Amino acid sequence: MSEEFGMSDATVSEIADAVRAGSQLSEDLVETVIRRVEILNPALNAVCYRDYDTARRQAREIDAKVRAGIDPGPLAGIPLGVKDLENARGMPTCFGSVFHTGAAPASDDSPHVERLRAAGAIPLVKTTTAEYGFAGNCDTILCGTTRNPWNLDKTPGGSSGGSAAAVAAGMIPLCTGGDGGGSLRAPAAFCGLVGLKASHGRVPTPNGIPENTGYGVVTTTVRDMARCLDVMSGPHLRDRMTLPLPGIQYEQVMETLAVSGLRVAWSTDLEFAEVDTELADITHHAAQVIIREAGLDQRDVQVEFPNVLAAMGAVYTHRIESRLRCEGLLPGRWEELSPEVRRSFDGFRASNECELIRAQDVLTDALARMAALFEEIDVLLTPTTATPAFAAAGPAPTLINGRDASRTLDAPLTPLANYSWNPSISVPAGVTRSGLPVGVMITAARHRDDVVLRLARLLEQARPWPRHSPSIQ
Amino acid sequence: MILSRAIKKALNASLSAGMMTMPLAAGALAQSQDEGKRTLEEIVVTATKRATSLQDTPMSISAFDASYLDANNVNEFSEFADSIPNVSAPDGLNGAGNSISIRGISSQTRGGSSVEQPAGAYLDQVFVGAEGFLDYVIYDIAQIEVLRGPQGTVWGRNTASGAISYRSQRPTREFGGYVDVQAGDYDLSAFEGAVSGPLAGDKLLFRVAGMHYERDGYIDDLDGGSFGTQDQDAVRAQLHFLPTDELDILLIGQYLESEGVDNIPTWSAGPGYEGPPELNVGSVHGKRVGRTNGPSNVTSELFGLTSIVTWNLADYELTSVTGYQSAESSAHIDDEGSGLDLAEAIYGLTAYGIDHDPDASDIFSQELRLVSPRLWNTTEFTLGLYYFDREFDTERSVKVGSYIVDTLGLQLPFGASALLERERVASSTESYAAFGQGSFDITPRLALQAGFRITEETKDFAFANGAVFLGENDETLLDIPLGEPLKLDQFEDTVFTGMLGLKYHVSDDVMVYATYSEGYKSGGFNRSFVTAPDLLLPFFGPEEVANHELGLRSKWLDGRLTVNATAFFMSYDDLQVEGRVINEQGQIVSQIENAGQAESQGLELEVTALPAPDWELFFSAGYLDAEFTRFVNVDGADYSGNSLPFAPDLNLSLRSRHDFDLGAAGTWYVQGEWVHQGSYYSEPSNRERGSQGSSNMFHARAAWISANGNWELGVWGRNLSDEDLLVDYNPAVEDNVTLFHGATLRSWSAPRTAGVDLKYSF
Repeated sequence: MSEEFGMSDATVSEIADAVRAGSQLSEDLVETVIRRVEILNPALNAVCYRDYDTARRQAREIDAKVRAGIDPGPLAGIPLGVKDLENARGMPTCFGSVFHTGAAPASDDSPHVERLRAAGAIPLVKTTTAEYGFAGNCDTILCGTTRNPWNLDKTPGGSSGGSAAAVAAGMIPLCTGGDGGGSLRAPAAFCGLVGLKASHGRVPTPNGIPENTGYGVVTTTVRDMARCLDVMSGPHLRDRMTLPLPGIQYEQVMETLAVSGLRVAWSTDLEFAEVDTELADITHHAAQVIIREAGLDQRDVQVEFPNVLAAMGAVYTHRIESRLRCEGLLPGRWEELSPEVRRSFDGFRASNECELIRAQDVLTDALARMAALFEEIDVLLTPTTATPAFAAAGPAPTLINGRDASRTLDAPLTPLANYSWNPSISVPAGVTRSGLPVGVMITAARHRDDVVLRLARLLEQARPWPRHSPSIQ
Repeated sequence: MILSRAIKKALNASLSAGMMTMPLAAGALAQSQDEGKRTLEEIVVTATKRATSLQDTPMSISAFDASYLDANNVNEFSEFADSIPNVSAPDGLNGAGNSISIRGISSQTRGGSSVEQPAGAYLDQVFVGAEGFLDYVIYDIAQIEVLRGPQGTVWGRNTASGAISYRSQRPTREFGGYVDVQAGDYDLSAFEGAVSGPLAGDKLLFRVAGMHYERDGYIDDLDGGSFGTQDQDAVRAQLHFLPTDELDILLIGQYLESEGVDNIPTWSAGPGYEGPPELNVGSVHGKRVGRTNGPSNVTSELFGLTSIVTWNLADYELTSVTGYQSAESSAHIDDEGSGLDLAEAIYGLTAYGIDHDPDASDIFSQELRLVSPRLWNTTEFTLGLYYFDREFDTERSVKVGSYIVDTLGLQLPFGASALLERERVASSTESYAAFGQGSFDITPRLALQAGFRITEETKDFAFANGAVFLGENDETLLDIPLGEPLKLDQFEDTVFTGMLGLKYHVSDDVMVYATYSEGYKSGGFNRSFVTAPDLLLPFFGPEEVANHELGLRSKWLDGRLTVNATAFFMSYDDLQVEGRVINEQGQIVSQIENAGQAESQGLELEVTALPAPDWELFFSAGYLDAEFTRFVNVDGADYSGNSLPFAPDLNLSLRSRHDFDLGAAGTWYVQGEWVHQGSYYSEPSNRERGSQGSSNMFHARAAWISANGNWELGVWGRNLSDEDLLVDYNPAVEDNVTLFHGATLRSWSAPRTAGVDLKYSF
């Protein structure tokens, strides 16, 4: 009966295998996580809703299945946190906004949550999020400020900040998230975790509408990420953009895939972003390790892109503000939006229709450049973010290296893969002098999720990272 | 994981007793004239907290006065310990008196937050802890008394094997002083001086004494310089206030600062060695040669205040002794002393981006005692209360270097090549005691002695640990900060120690005695526990000793011959010894363990003679049989029957001094000493490689004293045969073939030294 899972050596895969083997009770795991949440969450504020009773019942069912010789699945008994932009059956989804206070419990799971649950995972809490997912921190009027376990004055990132904080602190072993512009990868980088935005369509969305959002999880190891991707992947009737089954087991190929000779390029800033120099050094060093360990063929190619973040910001601002106006919430309840969301809206809003059209053109141009780039390379390595974690209550940094970064902020490099649909993973590259984790991002050709996992695994083997934040321990 | 630098060495040697207590002039023999014959002076000691004659005190005591210390160029206890029966003080890696072995019982540790020394050391009646003033050069000392056997009644606190009492020179009623300069090999240069006299008639007296001591180390650095250098400066100021005949107030303030290059052991390996050359320097270059890959500097600063107030109340004497000492030390040392990036220890300095607090120790003690006059012509007693409080705080980092990481294939986060293990330990010790001792004359010749002490001691410990992972250029890759301190359960103990004895005067010059006495050394907290809490024990228990002793004190030939002999049997329960454990990461961690039982028995003989008016002979002998009667160490090895470390079976000393009167040209004297020590083992497993065979040492001094006694010019040499005696050996290192390929580290005693000195007294 281990109370040490997540805090010491046992990974999600190891715990699930132990439950399947009958040597670990799911009920005990759930009780342990509940205790950890009650102890740690006051400092982190990563959890915004609890459904312990349902979780306990589901745990008993899993333990009963195991006793009956039935395999509950590859994530058997794993307590799960679900980001509050996604549905978990029986728990309300509030999108981090006071506009959704009192929302009714969801009647069903988001598709990826449904698949995780079917594999044996047990949702028991909702984790905090940036309001409507539109900020690089989780500081909302509805839920308050979520904090980074590596440094409680800093943000765990956004918008999947609550999930990242909970996993990094060893509070909950597995949590979900979504990545529409970096919202899984940036929090993973801020919290020393693995965060994957898979190829678009690999993991189904709730309705097949978002053309840039991928859903997934944050984990502490590459194996856990690969196992979850195996669980979540596959076509779904509700999402027209889903891909066929990949035909491989990611948990297997991450150990065996031959990647030697693949063409790789490194870019510190995609030629448009301002990136902190210490962070650039750390991530570049990690990239060199990946190249060496994998035997990649480094190419000197031009990696130049327009400001994708600003373009995405204009498009998102228009979309969300339009929706809120239609529902009568804006402009009257402007002050009830979270501060960082208001700052983002004000900073990226297109002042007129033409600006909005031009923003869309920037994204189109970026897609073309990405396609041209991936004719010359197979892998792109960059820093995940432009800065380490910033202040928990914001604002996002507008000055980096003494230069203006108001149009690029903390995570300008992640949105590219959201629009180009390439698989892109963030893995821990190191820790800054001030003790904050930073991530290196591996982006591969579309549909080559196996490549990013394999390269991530090689880095993990060469330079293992601490799986949890030390300060909370 | 620190590779231990423990350097306990028991050199048993003998020294003649019967030292003069009242130096009439520097370097001159004290003597009393009786119808033209010289006789040996009565030696007054304060071993029972009242002034008694050594020949009349039923304890095994050796006493050394200022003239002896001057004539033997004593700067530290280890320089003359080999002349005391069954006493040794292995040359400290830093200064003197760090670890004193009495009757085979030595501390296997180098002090720390809670480990006590087996012999209590006192300066002007105030207990001085490990790494206190008595770990450095001593100066302006009036007398040193070495008390063998447990002193659990009037001295009490942790004097299981004995006590050593130092008394500094007092302010004088007449103005005077001295200046003494020394020079010698290893670039020795030393100064000692004092000035003393009245400030307000007989009511207020002062004394100011100072010392500077500097020399190179005894281990040559292959890259230049040496290891074990000394550079110490100290000052002591006293005010003696005597407002009335009944009241006596003495205030003492002292300060000392020290810096130097830390000593290192010698690495050597046997034939067929195939490991790194850095671990075989000793075999290639000699046993006093080394090289490190990093700094090895230590600095310390000490401050002390003492007040001794005595009231004479109708012939009763009420004395209050108050003492306060604080010490801070800082160091960045190459912990294993080799050229490999293996281990470093840092405290009190900034290194690897971390500001470390210094090791800080504060000690406060208060004793109140009442000494009775002789009552009803039969009875004397002493009663007292004692309070002691010590606070110790240390913040240290120990580096696990790239050699260990690479050799063991450790997978450190982010590919780190080295690791700093950080610890913070705060400990406090508080002790209350009540004691009493008395003597009752059953008959005019037979006296009953009894004493008791009740001690209540509590210790508190809190610790925190963290780690920093370092890259190839020592950049920080990951910092796990020191967490919130974890406070362990309080350690508490209440102990009763007693003494019972009979003293019989066969004649005025012959006394025999038999005593039973108990001693106690308190338990404490394993400092290394924080580095391996899953592997080590947090506490070690107290050690208890019972001593049975028979003694003879006698004077012959009209006071020209004293013969003092003692036979003893001591049994130890739960003896504390250091065990060294190597964990899965190849780190060596030590912990104090209660070894079980040990016994120490033997004989001590001290003979002082004046064969001729200008010829003094001192002979001493110690026979010692000290072994573990039950000891299974933490690895399961059974050491029962093994000899206690640093407990040679025989030590002898013969010293002869001859004075020559040159009339108006003054006097000159020549003094020689032969010290023989039997073989011994340096650690509990009694390995041959850690054994030291029997040895003979020779010391000599010649000096001229001016006719008026104001000037003395001397030349001296110690260890003239240049013996190298093993003072430390590490079997755990030798066993770790993976890391050290069979090499091991050993340390040696001081080599042959010589010098000159010039003293002017006024």
